[in-house]
Amino acid sequence: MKLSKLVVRGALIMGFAALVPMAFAAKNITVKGSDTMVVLGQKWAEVYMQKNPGVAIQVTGGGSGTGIAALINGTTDLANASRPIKESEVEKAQKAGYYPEEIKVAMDSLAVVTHSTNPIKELSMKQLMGIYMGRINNWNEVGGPDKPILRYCRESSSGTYVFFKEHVLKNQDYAADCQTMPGTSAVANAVSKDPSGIGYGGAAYYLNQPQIKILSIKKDDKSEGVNPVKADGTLDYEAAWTGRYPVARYLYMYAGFKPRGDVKAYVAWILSPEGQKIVEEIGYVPLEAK
Amino acid sequence: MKRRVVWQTFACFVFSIFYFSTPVMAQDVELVGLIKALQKQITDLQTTVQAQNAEIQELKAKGARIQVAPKGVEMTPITPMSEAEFKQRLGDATGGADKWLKDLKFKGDLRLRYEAFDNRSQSLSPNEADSRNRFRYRLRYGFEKKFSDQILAGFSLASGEAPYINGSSGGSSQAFNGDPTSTNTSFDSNFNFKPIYIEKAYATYTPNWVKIRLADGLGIDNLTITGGKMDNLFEKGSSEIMWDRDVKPEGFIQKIDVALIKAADFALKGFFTAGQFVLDEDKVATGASSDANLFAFQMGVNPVFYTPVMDRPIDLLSAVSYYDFGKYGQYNNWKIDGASGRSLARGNPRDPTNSASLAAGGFRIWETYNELAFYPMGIPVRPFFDYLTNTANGAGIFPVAGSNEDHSWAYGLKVGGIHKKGDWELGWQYRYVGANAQPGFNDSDFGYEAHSGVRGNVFKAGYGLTDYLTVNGAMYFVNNLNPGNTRGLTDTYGIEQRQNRFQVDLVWKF
Repeated sequence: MKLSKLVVRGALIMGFAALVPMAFAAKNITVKGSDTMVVLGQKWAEVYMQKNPGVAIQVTGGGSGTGIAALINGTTDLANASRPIKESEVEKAQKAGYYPEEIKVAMDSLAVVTHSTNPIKELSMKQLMGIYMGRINNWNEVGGPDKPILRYCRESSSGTYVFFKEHVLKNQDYAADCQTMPGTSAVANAVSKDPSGIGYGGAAYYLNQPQIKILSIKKDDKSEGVNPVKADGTLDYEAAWTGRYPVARYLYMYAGFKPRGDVKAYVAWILSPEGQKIVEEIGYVPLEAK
Repeated sequence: MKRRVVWQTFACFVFSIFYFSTPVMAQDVELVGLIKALQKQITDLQTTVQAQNAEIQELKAKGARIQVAPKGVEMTPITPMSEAEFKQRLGDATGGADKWLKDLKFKGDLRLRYEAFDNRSQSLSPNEADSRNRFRYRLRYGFEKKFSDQILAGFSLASGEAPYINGSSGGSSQAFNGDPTSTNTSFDSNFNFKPIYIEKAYATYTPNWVKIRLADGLGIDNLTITGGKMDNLFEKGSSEIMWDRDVKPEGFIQKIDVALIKAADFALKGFFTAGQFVLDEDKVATGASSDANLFAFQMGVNPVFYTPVMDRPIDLLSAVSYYDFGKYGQYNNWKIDGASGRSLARGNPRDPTNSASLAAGGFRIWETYNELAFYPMGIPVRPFFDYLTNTANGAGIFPVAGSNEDHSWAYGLKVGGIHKKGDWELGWQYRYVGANAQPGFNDSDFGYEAHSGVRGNVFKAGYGLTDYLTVNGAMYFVNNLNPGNTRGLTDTYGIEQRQNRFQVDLVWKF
């Protein structure tokens, strides 16, 4: 055989063989962002990897803003966010050559809670706003006992804090004497010991806690109060889906552009009944089946 | 023979598998080792936690108290500091600066430039190459304060050069930056200290109540109203044949962004921008006010659509602009600070019958700009085409053979984009800039002193050395459209036949 033919054939074969290890290498998907969603994200990843051993998924927190910034930098495939992406972030992404694709993956009902001995059963959005802005400072102003209100809230870096500020306080500042707690479970712990306290957080954290009462919330003075939890102690998904419960939000995943390949398959699985079952297990509200 | 070929082929294949798989297998071995080490660490941690749990249970059973003070001293339980108390203490420690520092953003950049010119002129003897080498810097720094979601204000300072201090009769004694299209300062003047100018001073209102959603994919996304000396939002639908990127207009700008259509693989957005600017104020001529103003309008659409052949969508920007420079071409309004001041009509010839007017008469400019962005293999590729015509002299939209002075056009391509370390970009464009097509607010690097009445090519390249430092290079090859003919130009450099310019920049962002 001529040497030249051997060299050409050898090069072709080596080139083909170079693809072999790539074909068998694990495909990586990176997910960064919301601390609210990190537990949910890790559970999704764990279950999906068990079913798809050829895929490796890394999930980290850091906050919704961190995840979106990583998307713009091209250092993550998916960004978890407990808030919608801002217009300024979309512009920045497009300048960098990314076109954020929004995917709603779950919902989260935020419960407002007091100690179980507090006779108050419901508050309107206006009253809730007044309490957390420091305009209402005694329970007797909202039909309760003559006791000062002790407010518990989350730290400012929390997406829950931001959501509550935007949707309940209409972007106005919290009262200066709000007690900052490092997590929803810390809020639950504080309120369970404080008959004058009020707090908020993901509804799932407050289920089956006898020292804590979850309040019903009225959209306005004329509306009926709606509780995020049903009488049987389970989350009321329908109230979140229909918007009857006013303090509910979507949880999002953002991709740099329309997902394709492995990322598309992973997102499709998250939105499937199997993926949404995990949402229920973690304690969030699954998307309404269509 | 056949058997030999088969064995050779098989040998190559096996060798290749081992050659390319060895690093993978080595990585697998490494990974297994790492997993085993992690498993051991977890086991050790579990043992520690169990031991600590046992100790806690023991202490609880004994009812022990941890004492940090001698007996007899009453211990105050430690409670976490509330956010209110933290804010109070922070405010006391900083003298109240914490309130001002909230939502305050500082931003700036420093550019160091080496620049070399090679000018050729027929009028000088013989074909003299008036070469020049210089070093320059550009410094810009400022801040922006967000008072709320809807209101912000900011300012920035920038370097510049004031080669003309106009103390002559009819002018003031103030020193202005010599060129609104440049913030460069040359290394010059025996180490003397250099001036700093106000580049921007502005306030912006972005009302939330305007953001309405009429249907999925249809609604108003944003409205901004800005006043002061500000960024030039008209750059979006324009290229450097119309606007140098250093220009900061003064007046008011309103911009609205709308969402028009949203489908599975297609989205359409639009925008409309209007500007009301002051060019030259408090001029009196023959009993009538001769203040020069600019009224500008720009409308654009931005369809984005996915195709089966690429992961990322194709992004098209198409904009039409109209600029009405009222009285700019008359009463020497194009001069900074009076009739003896520095001229901005660089390459715009004068009216031969009236030295206080330009041959263009005025500037009422229509412009169309189109840019496409697509991403083969994830690499941004952006071709563009820009065309403008000045209708003040009665010129039509399209150029007439032998009379292109009222028209300008540019087309080119940019590949890549620099956003972080390791990014790169390359660019090329051709420009034809008619002498009467636009005033001297266009690219100051394209032709020496002659912004208009020139044509040529521009090549650019850049690389991100770190996330904050980029190195850029540019080459300009520019020819004068009317060489050897002053045509009433206010600067003799306008007769240069050809200019080649080379630049190397280092840019730090902070």
